[in-house]
Amino acid sequence: MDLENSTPMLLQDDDQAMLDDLSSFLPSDLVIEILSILPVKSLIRFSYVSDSWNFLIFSSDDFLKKHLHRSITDSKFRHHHLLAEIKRNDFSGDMYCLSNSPKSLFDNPPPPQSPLSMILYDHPSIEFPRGTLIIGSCNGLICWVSKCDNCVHCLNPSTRVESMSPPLGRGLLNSTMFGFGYDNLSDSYKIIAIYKTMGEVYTLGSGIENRRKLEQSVPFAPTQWKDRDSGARFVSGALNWLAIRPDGTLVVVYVDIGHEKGGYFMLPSVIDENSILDSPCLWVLGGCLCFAYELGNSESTLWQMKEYGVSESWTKLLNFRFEDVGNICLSQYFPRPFFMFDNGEVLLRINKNGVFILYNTRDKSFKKVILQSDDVIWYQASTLIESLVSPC
Amino acid sequence: MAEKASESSNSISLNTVDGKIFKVSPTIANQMQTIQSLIKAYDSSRVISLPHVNAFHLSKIIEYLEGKSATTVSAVKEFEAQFMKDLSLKQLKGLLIAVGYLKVNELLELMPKTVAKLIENKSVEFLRKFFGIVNDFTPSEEAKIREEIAWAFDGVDED
Repeated sequence: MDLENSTPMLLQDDDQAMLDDLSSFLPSDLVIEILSILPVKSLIRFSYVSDSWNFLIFSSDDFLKKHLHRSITDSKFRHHHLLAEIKRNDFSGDMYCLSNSPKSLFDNPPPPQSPLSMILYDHPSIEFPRGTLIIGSCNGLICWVSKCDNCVHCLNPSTRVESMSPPLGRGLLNSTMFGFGYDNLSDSYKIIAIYKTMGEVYTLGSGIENRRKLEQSVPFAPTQWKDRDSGARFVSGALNWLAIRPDGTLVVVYVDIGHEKGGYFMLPSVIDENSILDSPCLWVLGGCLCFAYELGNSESTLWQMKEYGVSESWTKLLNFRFEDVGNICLSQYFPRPFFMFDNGEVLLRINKNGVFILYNTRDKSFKKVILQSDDVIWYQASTLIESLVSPC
Repeated sequence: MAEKASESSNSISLNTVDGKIFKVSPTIANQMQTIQSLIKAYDSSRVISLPHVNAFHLSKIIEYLEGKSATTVSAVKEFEAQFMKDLSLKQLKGLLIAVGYLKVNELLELMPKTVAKLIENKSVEFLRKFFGIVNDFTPSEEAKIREEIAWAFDGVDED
């Protein structure tokens, strides 16, 4: 639309005055509605249109929540990003990057051989020094602890605001499992640390000295499969880890982040048949807890818990043999689910060099997608939804 | 097209700010919350005067409400896209005021999306002009903020 393109219809002087003073003639909720569907970057820029917009964008809790709700429920996932853990081929370091919206990656795919920057959301990549443990991400915030400074860090990559706690006490980091999530009862963000079965809670922004014991801890110690995989999956107000019950059964232990109480539930029963699972993992896809594993170094299976906490609702989403999707299996690079679209398609990284498949869970068909082939190894990813939430 | 639907005895008469009378069916009128409550408050035989809404904007709203009753979802989407594309910026602003005043449910959902898409990559100056908002920051305040969030000014479209 062209600003100067006046129309042939008759416009009275009154009309022109109204158009010049649009905001005075619009109900304020209509203006708020428009702003609530904008990307965070636009809102940051528009925060200095006027004093009242600045207040709305940075200081109104109602607006923040409305914007977050709009972003989460956006049917085109325009404000969703993949928070991907990538490695340089020369193993020079680990880093995380934020991709463009997953839908735009497939609606407007970058040409083959594109550099990594073509598919990145415009925040610079986030590089972590060795000894960084990503605790989790929630409502646009990424939280991690660092062995270098022994502090809890939190970053909102969309607003580029970062916070850092005072140093934690000594000894907390070794074989401690962590989780990060939003508690809607107290309207706050919490970090949970579990050591064996004992838990501690720290509320973001409250001062580290205020951390306290979990009222009711977890029944079994969460299992750490890999050195750096100590973060929980946050879904339906609870943090979830895999754990092995004393009788050898693999289960999910959780902490309800609002009530600060732990418990456990069962995984799909079919996995008990004397089979040895490779690389069992929990994920969050389509807003539900998911469980993935590999069998016999040759096939991949993914289950989704349709109703959180109800073991009967585990549903097998996909199961394929590596050779059927053209995966040359390297045990470190088992297929990893990255994202699930609302039509039931699951994006999986199947090889290390940017080779993905979009697997249709309804008709079991798939198509291969190559995202880019820079010197980058895609490892795994979770979803980050851009928000105005402050990490402080 | 509005006049054609007017023959039925229970049609509602709307008088636009530029003095044109539209007769609309109750089905159309009931999709505008403001008209709905005015009909309830008075009686439907009375001519309802509409401040802030001219004949062009009202005819567009009626065109939309009649057109979006297409049979398939994709046909509705196509119609909506064309409907919005045909509007000039000036018409879009006028229609936004009319829709905000009349509270046309469906358009209260569609128009914010259209406007958001239009302004997403625009400059602060474009926004001030578009909404008619006076800059109440002092030049030094403005310079300071611009420096703090310089990254948010990358990739802004020309006005």
